Amino acid sequence: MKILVIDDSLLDRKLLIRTLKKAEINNEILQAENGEEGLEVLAQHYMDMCVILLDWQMPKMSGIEFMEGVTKVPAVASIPIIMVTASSAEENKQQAYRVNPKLAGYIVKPFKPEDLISAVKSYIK
Amino acid sequence: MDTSNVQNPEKVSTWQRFLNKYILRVDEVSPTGFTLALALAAAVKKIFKDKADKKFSSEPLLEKKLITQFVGRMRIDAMQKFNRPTVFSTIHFYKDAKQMSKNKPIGVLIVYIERKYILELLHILKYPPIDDDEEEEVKDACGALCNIIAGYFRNEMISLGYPTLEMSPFHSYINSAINGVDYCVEEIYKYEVSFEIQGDRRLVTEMVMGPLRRA
Repeated sequence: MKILVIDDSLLDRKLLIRTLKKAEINNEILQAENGEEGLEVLAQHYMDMCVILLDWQMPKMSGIEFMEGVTKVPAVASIPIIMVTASSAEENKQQAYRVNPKLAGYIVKPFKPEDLISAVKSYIK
Repeated sequence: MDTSNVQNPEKVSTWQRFLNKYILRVDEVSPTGFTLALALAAAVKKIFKDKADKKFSSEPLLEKKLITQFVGRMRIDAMQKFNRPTVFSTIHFYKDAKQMSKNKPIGVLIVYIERKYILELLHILKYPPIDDDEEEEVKDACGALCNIIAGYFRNEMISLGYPTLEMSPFHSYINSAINGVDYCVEEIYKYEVSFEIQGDRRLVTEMVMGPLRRA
């Protein structure tokens, strides 16, 4: 099963992927630079997707807009999404859970590797 | 005798000591701007503490500067910060999603890093290395750091009672932004907060924030 990392920063994507690999999570990892690209990747691979790591502030389509779309499509609504974002405000976290009550995790950057791994591991197939 | 205009000498002295501590170089002090500049300084210090358990070699330097406006945008000359090639990133703040969709920012944060120092800074903050010959990778790395600083800064603002602002994605540049950057055009001053690492000025942040009401 595949993992989708959606973040506009190449450095942040590298950091996420490196953290997963170091923890011996060897699933195939797909990448997208924003929500729009994320939807395109998801459309092609949703049958094999086990978890999505999603940034908030991105050009073209933000993480929140991405989730708003995804939660309305039954075929992909059940794919677990973990937000990994610099938006650490409680209000933002509540907004994210309002948009997607099934949100699988909310991790604040800069994150601790163990927090990311423990959030991701339960969804790895 | 009317003494209402005479300042309390004890208060002035305390205020002066406070200013001296942060080496503030201003002609006048705008409480909101000054408070937010301190919040920005605190945010950057926290990131270095949380991410690398590191402290700066001296207290951050705070300066209040006039904004140079050009056709409704703020001019930026990043080369003035270090007199060397410089990468910088901007993140805008908006009162709400509606203002964001109209592109009417209430504030902007700019993070400047001397280009040749970016690899070392990433190493300190435990990021993976990048190819520093690749302009896009350098800009992206600066943007990622700007994003984290903006997030921490916004949290500091919230803890001071300011509302939760919307944040834009980052935009990054090398040396200058030819058309300037958007900002809250009513503002005249920007606040610069610079940080020394191992005795050298390595990281400079700038902030402009329009009027905000505390809760």
